Amino acid sequence: MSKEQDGSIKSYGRGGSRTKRGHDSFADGNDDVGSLKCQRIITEEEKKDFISYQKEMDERRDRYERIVKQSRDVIIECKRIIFQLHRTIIVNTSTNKEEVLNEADRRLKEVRNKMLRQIAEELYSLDHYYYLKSYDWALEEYIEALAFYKFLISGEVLLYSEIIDILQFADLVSEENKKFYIELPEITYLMGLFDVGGELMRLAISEISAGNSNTAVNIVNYMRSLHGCYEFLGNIVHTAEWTKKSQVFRDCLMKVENALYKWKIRENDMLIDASLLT
Amino acid sequence: MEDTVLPSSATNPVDVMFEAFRELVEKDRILKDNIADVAHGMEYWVSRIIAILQKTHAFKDGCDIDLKEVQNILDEVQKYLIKLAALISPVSYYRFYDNFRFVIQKLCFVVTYVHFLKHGILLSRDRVAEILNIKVDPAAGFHLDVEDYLFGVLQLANELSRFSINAVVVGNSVLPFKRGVEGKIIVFVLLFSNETSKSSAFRIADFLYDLDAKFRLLNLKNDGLRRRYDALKYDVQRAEQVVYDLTIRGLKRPADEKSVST
Repeated sequence: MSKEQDGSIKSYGRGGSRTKRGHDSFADGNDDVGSLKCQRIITEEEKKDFISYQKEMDERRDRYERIVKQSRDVIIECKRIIFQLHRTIIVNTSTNKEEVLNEADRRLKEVRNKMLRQIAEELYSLDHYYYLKSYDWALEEYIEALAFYKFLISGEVLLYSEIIDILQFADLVSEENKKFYIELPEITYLMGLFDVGGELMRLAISEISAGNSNTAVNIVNYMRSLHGCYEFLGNIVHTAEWTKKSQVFRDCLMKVENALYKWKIRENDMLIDASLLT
Repeated sequence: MEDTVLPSSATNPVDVMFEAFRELVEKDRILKDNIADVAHGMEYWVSRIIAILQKTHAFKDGCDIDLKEVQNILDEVQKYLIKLAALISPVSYYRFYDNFRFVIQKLCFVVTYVHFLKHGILLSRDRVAEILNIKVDPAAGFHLDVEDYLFGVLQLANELSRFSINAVVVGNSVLPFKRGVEGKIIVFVLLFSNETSKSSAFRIADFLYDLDAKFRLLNLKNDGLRRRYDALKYDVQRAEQVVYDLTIRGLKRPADEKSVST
């Protein structure tokens, strides 16, 4: 503290260089200038308010940083689960495929029961919207992984009510009968569902490359349905991110449609070749 | 799955979900517009208070008359605060925070400035919330956020550094009329006799010294408040410059002057 105070005193010298007038006849009156250099000390009573502000702000920032770290872990794990789900196309038998899906389901449950639950505990009885920016990107990734998994299981869209129930943690035991939950704005859910389009496009291209068009047809129907719903919503959020994701989703849909188109064309070419051989 | 799905059919659970989203977003938009309207109405009254307080730079009359009118307008502002609290309390305080945070900051500046003009000390956040009749506890719903209060105090520092300069200008305004007639001694006697400008300049410098020291107690993160705090040192520097200019001309710091905060 005294170091900064010395810095303040030094600034007197800078001011002096800009004053050119002198008053020699009053030189004796300046003997008290030395008294200006005394150290100013704030009493503990005066510090009390700002120390309480410091503690309040530090507490909020520390919690924010803890949630950010937890969110980063959630994102990393969800991306790994998505990579694992993409490996279903390289397994040969339905038994192996089921094993891959079961492993993914186990890991998704672990993400929810440990990582997301810990975020919910941090946010207990607090205003979730204050900390929303620290965890909504993690929830987007989790929704992407969960929706992708559900498509592989049943081909259906993950509903908002389902993800809300999952984030209630009602089936987990909690001490003192507390009810933990994570606030999920509908915008965050819709953003996460946008991201599924990219994964489904990747899956469709891989399946067509492997010579299987049935999955791609299911994917294109799924994405067309979603695209229609998003167009129905229109530009409900005037943010750059929404516009960007909407465009990317549309591009992914067109890629899948283009892949199916080429598959159809080449299928006929192969049939023609086969007929010539007979 | 069907090849084509029309959103208007509303039989598919996905379509039902998106219909609900549309309604939810519309409700949020209406609420957001209502909050913005109330904040805009409050802004008008706060701006009127600031216009009144700008008269203090001219040092005309006493401050008492203006401050009474300011108090009347503050009562009007409290009505808007009640409306704002009614709109916000059902939902989250921070969800539409950006729509009203700046008017709250300006309101904090106004209240602390008025209090400084009256008593010369820094008003604490609890006292500001008490004057505005709102809470400080986040769990209470609508409350005075600590960062908004600190933003308001930093605006106060910027205003006071300007106030300090204008205080000296008022003291010097008699100089040109007397220079041609009287000698130097008479000129400085007039400067000495102007207690208001002398006390104001020294008192403001002490206040800003204390404020800068108090802000150093905080661990400011690299965000908007930190950037705003970085400008505080220029306000302190201006106040120090005024004190220096007065001191080298023989005007001494009053011994009994010292600012304190409650």
